[in-house]
Amino acid sequence: MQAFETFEHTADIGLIARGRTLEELFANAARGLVDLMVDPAGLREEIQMQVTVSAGDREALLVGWLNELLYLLDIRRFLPRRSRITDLSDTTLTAELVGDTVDPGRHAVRRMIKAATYHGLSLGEANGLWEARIILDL
Amino acid sequence: MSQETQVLVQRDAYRWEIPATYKPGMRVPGLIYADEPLVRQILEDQAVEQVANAATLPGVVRWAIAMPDIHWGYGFPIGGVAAMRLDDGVISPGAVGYDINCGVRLLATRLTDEEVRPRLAMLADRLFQNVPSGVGAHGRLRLTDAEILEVLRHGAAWAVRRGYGRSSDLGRIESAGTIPGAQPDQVGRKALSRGLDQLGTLGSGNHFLEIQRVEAIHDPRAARAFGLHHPGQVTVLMHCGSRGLGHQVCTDYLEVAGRSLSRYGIALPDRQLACVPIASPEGRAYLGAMGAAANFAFANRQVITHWVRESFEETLRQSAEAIGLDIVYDVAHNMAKIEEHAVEGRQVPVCVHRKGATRGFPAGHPDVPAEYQEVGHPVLVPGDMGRYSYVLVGTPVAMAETFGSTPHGAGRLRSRSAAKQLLRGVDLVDVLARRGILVRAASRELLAEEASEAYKDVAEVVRASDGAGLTRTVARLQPLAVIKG
Repeated sequence: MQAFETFEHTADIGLIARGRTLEELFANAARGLVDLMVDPAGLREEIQMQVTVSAGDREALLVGWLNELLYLLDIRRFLPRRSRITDLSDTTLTAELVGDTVDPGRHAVRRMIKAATYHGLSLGEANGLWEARIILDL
Repeated sequence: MSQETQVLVQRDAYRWEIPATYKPGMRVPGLIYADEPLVRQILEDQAVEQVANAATLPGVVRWAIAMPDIHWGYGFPIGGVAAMRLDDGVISPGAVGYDINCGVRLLATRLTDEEVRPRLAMLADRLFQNVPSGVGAHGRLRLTDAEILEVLRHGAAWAVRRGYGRSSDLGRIESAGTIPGAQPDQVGRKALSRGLDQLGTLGSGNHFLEIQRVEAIHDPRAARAFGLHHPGQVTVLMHCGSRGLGHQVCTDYLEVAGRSLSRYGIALPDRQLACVPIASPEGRAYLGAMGAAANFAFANRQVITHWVRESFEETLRQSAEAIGLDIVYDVAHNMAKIEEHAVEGRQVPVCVHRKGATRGFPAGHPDVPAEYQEVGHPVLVPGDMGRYSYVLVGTPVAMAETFGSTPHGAGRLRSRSAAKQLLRGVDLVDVLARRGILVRAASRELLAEEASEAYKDVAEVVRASDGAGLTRTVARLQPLAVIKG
């Protein structure tokens, strides 16, 4: 299983995330998002935090989760190297994040992502494998 | 007509209709302004589908419109325009976009390129240093909780009052740099906190700050009115928006709209188009919050303008007043505005959504600044960093057909990965330097995604827009130095 990959979109970029469980899919979507912005190999595991996100349904929760990470990047310059989903329902998730403060002097910055969008959003399971497709606004 | 363009009905050389029968739920037809080569490119992705989707929105007037630079966006196409009736129409945060009041501002100097060339590298370094850009960049300002509310209420006027700029600047900004009716109290806590240290930052992606020279003047009378006098004159162009604050306002209100859809009986083909009635409490709240975020963007470009002036002063050892650096104009290209337009022979207020489209009011329109009354206000259409940008003016045709809307840029041609693939192993900084264009970029990786090869030739967009009669070309500007996030 490839944890995440990107797909083509003219103006923006598409992200496919996979997981054997829904929790793993959410964690892999976060990895994919971070990987698009910086080289994750340069991120230290020195800051821990916990976040809780709520939304109207499971797809919106995925969008809300990624947008929460972009919010944390803006206000704390934080990006997670790892995330673990500790609690998940269709409308709420709690995650533990371990990561680093982004420093353009120390990290290989790739690009900035403005937001995760609902356009063409899908999230489903087939043969025991969860997969989500999401378009990110650059 | 060729096989590929059969979904479209060609009305003339520059107008292509998407019939309202194209897709269930369309309330009006779609109308794409483009010539045949551009239409072929437009048909390659999902942009046409997105125009058709925009035509399903409640209260949409006359048609859903696409500019020649249209391309596949998320929800609403980039280069899309739709006007809604105020009584039964909707407002859609997704049809404005995440970067509320992303826009362009042009400054004109009294310098020539020969005068600037010897110090161009120093000037580029100074601008790169003075205007924070890129991922993780710290802003130079840290607003207090009280100050940010003032920024959101007063926009560029706040910045000028605080010493960032000249009082004469405000008259050269769309809506004088302050959206009336902005409601900072409708902006959520998260959005406010994202804005606290982002005022005066360029951002990343396709945002830029460019030192340019006038390459050619096409309409001397309009150019003179705009302060563009001769080829070789140095100008400065910036492209940026409301940063994380605006993105968060969009995120928050998309969620509000998404939750409200069933209550208002609205069914949509794409969740990203989530919308609420303009006349509803949620609609009024979004309009107030969007106006506040737009004011943040006007203040952002104003603060950056001040730092641009300081950078020129420091490098060239002359006062900014002597150098000029007067604002030619500042236009928004992601915005919804309530404006009066002629609908079925009557002037009525409508809510015009422009996402990747520029307002282009012609001569004589009351919202055009006094000094531009005879020619119309400038429309700024940036191209890519290796080619050129345009200054245009809007026309009565745009007023009559597109709710006074005009194109906003080149429009992407290749996806980012395709552009990178194409340019593998090419040192873009070096290639551009050999063509006389200096580049300062926070991320080299990003640079390839923003190369000329990733974009349509903006000259083709302008040709189609002028050909359709929406605009008239005034001048073309060439980059000398480019600052990228």
